[in-house]
Amino acid sequence: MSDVKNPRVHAEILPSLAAVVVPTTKILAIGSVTDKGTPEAIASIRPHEVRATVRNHLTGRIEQWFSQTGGHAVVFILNAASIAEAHELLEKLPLGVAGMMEFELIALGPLAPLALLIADLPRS
Amino acid sequence: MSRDLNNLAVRAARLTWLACFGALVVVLAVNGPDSSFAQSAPPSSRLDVPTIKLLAIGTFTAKGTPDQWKPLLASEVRDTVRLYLAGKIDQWYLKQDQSGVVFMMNVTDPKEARELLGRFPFGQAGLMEFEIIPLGPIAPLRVLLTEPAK
Repeated sequence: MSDVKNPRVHAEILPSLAAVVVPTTKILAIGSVTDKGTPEAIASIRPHEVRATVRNHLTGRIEQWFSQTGGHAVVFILNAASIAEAHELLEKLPLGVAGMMEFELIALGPLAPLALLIADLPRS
Repeated sequence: MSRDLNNLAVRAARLTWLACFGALVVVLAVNGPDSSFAQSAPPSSRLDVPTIKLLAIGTFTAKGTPDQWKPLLASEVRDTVRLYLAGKIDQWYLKQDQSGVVFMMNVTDPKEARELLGRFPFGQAGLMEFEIIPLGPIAPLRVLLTEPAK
């Protein structure tokens, strides 16, 4: 009788903490301008690049977008589940097609160590 | 007589100063606030944007082996949550290759970010290093403003 369950907490349907595998939820894309990407060359492609980027934002694939204030490239946080998916999206952008911008891609997931804070609920 | 001359000289000097000041005001007004700001700022271009966030990419150092960082992990997590609650960490992620973390920070000075992150247990023990990338609004969007509204 001491283990009266709160009917709103269905703990049995949740995976145990040890079994939680953090999924890839976002891809961080850090752009860098290649040697081919001279300011003049990029300027001629920029209007197309902007439009393609906005289109990808409107479809929800580019979630966040920034300019690197120390350089001329961009940083995106993409809603993609794999590096391959992100690569496919970014290489179709006009600057990618022209070989003027490259991206370093880093797969990201939820901050797993937060699990340490929920491991032991003090018994009341 | 000489006193009058002195007074006259003082008045003339004041008028000259006022005239110079007036001219400066006129120059500033004609050129507008942007150009007056530009005199004290680096040359600007259409792609200049302010830094609004810092991307902090943390990577374990050679010293940062699991046997070194595991005992400190609980304290590291607590410090991370504290920095989030202080409004300094906007977003937090784990790198899927387990090489470290990625934070989006509500901080614009890289020095401040390094100081804050350097106080974490991993930083104190030299187990993790951060690459800091200053970020601003995506500047090329400005291209869309040069076209007439439809």
